[in-house]
Amino acid sequence: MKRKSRHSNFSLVLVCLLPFYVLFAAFYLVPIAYGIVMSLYNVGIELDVFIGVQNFIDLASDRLFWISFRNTLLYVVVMAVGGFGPILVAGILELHLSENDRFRRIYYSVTLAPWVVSWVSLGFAWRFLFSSYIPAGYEAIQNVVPLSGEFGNPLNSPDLALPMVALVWLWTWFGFNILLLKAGMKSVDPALIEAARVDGARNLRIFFGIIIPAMLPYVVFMATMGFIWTFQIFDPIWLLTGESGGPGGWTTSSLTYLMVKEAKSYFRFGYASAMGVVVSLFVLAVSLTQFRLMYKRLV
Amino acid sequence: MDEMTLSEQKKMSRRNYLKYVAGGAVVVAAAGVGYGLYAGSQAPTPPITQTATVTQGATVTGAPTTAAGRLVKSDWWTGQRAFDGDATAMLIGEYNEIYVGDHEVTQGYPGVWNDVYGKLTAAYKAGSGMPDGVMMHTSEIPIFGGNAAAPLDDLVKGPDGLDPSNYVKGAWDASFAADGKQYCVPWDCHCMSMYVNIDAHNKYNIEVPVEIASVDALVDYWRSIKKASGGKVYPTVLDTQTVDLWWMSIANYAEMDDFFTKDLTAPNIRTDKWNHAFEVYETIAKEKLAPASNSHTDLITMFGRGDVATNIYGPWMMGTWDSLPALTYTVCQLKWPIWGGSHAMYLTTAARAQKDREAKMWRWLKWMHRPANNGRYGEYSGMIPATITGQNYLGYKVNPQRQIYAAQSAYTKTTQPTLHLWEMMDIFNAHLSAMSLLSENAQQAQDAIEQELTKLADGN
Repeated sequence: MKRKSRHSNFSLVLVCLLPFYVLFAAFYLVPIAYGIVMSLYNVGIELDVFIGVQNFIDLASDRLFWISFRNTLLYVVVMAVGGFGPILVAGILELHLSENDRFRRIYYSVTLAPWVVSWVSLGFAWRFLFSSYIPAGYEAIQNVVPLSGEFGNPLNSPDLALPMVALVWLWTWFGFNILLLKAGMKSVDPALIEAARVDGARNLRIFFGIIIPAMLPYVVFMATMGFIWTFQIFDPIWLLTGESGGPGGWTTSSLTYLMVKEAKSYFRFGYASAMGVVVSLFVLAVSLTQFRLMYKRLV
Repeated sequence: MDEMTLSEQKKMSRRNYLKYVAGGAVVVAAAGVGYGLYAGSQAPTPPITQTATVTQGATVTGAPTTAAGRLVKSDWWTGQRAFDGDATAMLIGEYNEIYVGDHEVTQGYPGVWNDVYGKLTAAYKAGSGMPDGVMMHTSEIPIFGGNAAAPLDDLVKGPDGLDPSNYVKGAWDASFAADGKQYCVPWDCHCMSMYVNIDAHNKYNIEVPVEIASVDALVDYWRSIKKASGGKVYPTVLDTQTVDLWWMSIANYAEMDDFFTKDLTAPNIRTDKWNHAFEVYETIAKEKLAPASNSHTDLITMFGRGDVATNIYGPWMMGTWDSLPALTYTVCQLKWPIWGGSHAMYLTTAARAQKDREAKMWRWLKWMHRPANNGRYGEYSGMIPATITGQNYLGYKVNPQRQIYAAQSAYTKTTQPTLHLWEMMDIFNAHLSAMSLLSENAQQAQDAIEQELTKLADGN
């Protein structure tokens, strides 16, 4: 009797999960498996030729691959360094403002807005703002980014284009990270903070001694997801610096950008898949290391 | 009993649960991959040989204008999304009204151009979901000619065919593949010409040119703008953010045409003509005849405002210029062979595999190319009709700017490109962009381009 009931419950669980499995397999596992298979082929519109690991060998000597790899790492660095911004802001807001403070609510809404809006809209908005199309915006940018110099539009400068794209990307994620950390703040027992205050601890001490350790799981999640998402950065590059990989040639291209170029512009689907496999393995390795290192410290 | 069951459920360890979940996912994925491989091996890829057999024997002559019989619904894909796409959609609507109950064409927008190519590739490989026709550029012949796109020679040369002399020669010549087969019919001719901001010229008493005969004369004219305005107006712009092929037209076209058509066995950009072209690029950058910008948005804005005096671009910009009330502009002809692309109509192998479908699509294509239809397309969109009769259509002819462009089309040269055209263009654009920003000189750019082209050739 017991066994039957257990069995039927398990079947029910499986049946309930089946739609998820089917969709997950159809949109994740099958494309991943297919991508791995494609990476071993020279994929043509008519004929697919098995070439083993040749695509991977070619990647190793591909100049554009390494340029794009370096650029991608730079985007990740900006994201990683900039990621401390939301932590500080969230901490300050929690320590100084009450839950119902109007400024706090407005601030959360405003910072979250870019996360909600489509990147296509954001990209065009920024593109026009950077360009002289909107004079007021252009002048403001000129004041903020004086280094743009003779280029006017910083997106035209080979040196500034990548940092500008990275900052816009970071800005998009700012609100989401704040929201995530705000949720993390809920896990901090107010009594602990109160007790610390009674013991004479100042805000800085409370921040680093109580808030940061309590939020570490959230910070790990934010860092890992930020890394994964940034490693896939594509939309802002395409929308802000166009189809030719940035001013001066390939100054803003990322690995995903190059992958799209290889597949959709040059019709080298197998080669693009090989690039996808390498990127996935790299992201997987770094993410696992991140989790391992950080959670080890938490336990 | 219920309590016991719950307790038993709790005993299922997380490890076991994950095992079941992973097992289930793997089984479903394996089933999906297996089915995909099975379906792929069974997929009825449109048989090109069979198509040829059918079409060789088929008499599409006099495809019935009021065909009785089943209603054929045809999908037509395009990447045209602006004035040009709207104009085509309008014409298709009219056609559908005329042939109601017999043939219905639906214009689909799979996305931007690369999405059209990607989805066409996917449909062809899957053996299903192919449209009957696709609007692409002539530059896509090396990719789709002979697979997704069917040859049209028998239809074009047949009794119900088309008159090649009624088409802009450059565009018509570009509709053939290297093997001599024709895979598309040009619909327009978007050759490059030079837009001139009249106000910017008047402000500094610079004469507005009507035509310019050579590249060197063009550079001299730009220098005169800089001098007359005291450097307050940039003479021109160089847009390398989009894939702007006019740059290439500075080289001798015959040489360039050969260069992009041939297999890349030994790319040589050290000839006198190429050297001259690179000298011109360097001059433009060093003398600051163009702003240190290659942002498409900036360049359009600057021309619209009069911060730059000229802008070499395609006719599709006319719609945008017309919408700027403060801008007064004209078009100056560039009288040497200059690059020009062409939207062209392709029929797919799927359409040609069925006789009635093929006949009706051909009837539709011919209807679209009638003078009033091809002409109205040009009138509304600003594109240059590919047919001479379309260019002479009254609605198109009365617009002076469009007429200058139509005259420019006589100088249009379109390559029969290699499969790697766009990759080659990206290589050129990257280094021309570096030159325009003075981070490379002509020598360095030529070295780098040649090296990268050689590597590309080696990989083929």
